[in-house]
Amino acid sequence: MTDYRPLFGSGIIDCNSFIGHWPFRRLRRNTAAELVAMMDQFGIWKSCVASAEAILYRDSHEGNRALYEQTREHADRFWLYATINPMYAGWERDLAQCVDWGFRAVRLYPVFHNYRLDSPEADRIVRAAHEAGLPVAISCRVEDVRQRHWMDRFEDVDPLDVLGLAEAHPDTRFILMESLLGWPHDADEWRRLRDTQVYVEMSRMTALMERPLEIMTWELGDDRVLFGTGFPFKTPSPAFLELQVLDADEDAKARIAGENVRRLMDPEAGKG
Amino acid sequence: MVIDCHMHVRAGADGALDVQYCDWTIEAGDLLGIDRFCVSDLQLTGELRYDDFHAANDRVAAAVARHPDRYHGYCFVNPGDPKALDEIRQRVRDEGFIGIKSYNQYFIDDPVVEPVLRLASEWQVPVLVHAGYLTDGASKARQPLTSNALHLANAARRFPEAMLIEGHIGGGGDWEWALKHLREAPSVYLDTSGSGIDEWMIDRCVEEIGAERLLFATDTTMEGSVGKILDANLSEPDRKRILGGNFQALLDRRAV
Repeated sequence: MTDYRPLFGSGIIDCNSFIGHWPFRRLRRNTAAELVAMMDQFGIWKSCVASAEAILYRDSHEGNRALYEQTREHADRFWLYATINPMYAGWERDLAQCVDWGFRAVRLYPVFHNYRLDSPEADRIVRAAHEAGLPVAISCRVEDVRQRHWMDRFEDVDPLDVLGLAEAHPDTRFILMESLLGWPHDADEWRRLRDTQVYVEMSRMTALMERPLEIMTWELGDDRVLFGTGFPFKTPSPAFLELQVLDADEDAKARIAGENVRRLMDPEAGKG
Repeated sequence: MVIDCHMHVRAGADGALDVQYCDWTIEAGDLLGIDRFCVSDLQLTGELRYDDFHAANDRVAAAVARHPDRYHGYCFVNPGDPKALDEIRQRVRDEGFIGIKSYNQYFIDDPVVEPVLRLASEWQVPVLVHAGYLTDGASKARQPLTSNALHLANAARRFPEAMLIEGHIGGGGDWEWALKHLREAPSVYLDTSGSGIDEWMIDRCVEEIGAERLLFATDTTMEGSVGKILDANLSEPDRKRILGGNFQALLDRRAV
């Protein structure tokens, strides 16, 4: 394992990690303590962490509750995602409780929770998150559909649907996670994305060959790209290598490695 | 020596070798520490006839000529074509291609493929098989004749001297299912490539089939394929074996 602080600074923040279990595959190193151990190996200062169980629990908030309880011992190392299902009873109160607990962002799974991103339910949860001062993270997928379990009938989220939602909520900050944006330079989608407040987590992008990560960083701006690993669904080193080989200067890499997500999730960032 | 045993070249708009793609590959190798790439041409579907695979292999030959110290070629054929063996003889015996690439025209245990496997066994050259146990309908519909580990195990029983390689354990599909079958097929090798970078994938491969049957590869997923080897809990000798030693040992068995 490599400590990446000499390359990217001491403020590395992984904006895409989980603890907990996944019903279709055993996740190892999936406790808070094991996540901290991984962070220490790679030099990660903080992880933005979500509950893996909350994705498929009928009551997602039980996943949030478990996440809160299980991370308290290492609270200074984590910023927590509130997984909210706007189709389920009582989500408004669940969101309020997560705000009270200090959760830093809302995480939505529209396909798993069976609603469309242009639906009234999506509109309501996005408005509620915005009023609570939280960004909204939407994952395009959890696992590769090509290896899906026979009980898993879920399709990937189309990034353009997230873009449409962000255009309908121009004041809300979004994080597009686990996406593979391969648009060419000067594609109109980049202009549309620039005009929103969408930040993009980079773990599925490559900085090599056709260089989609470099194109995205150029078109969207290095202040809108976020470092994430997808751990423990995914192994961490690929994301570090992507940032390492990205053709960008040291300051840009430091922004991607942590400063951008800190600005999104830390109310104290930039003060004083 | 780090050898990527599963990589590709492709055609440009004019049908000739896309040299920019070639050069991107070399650049990626330089940045990530990959010394050599074993390449075939990306043609994944359809009833490909001689002219198609011959042209694809011409592009591979052009890539090897462009970067002779970095590229090795696989000969791709449609095994059902009457001139498939002629193409293999030209490329492998006469031009020095290092092995044969099987895509998804036939399952690898289909009797149509037997003459190819017989020749590969006789010449002791590896056969890299595009493979995966695809569990979603759309992927299966796109590639209905993609071989899985069971097909490889069947072929290996009939050709125990063949050096069969199951392509891209991370290339989609249920890789845990694949490992269950591969542990019962001790002569089949497995390449580590693919966009799937599941935590512990490589560790599970080693637990089930052993480091001596694992071959490093990217199949165009550069950072991901290198990163998952870095993260695997391997001894240094095993890491070296996977990164190149195992594949070099296969190349050293060449008898043509």
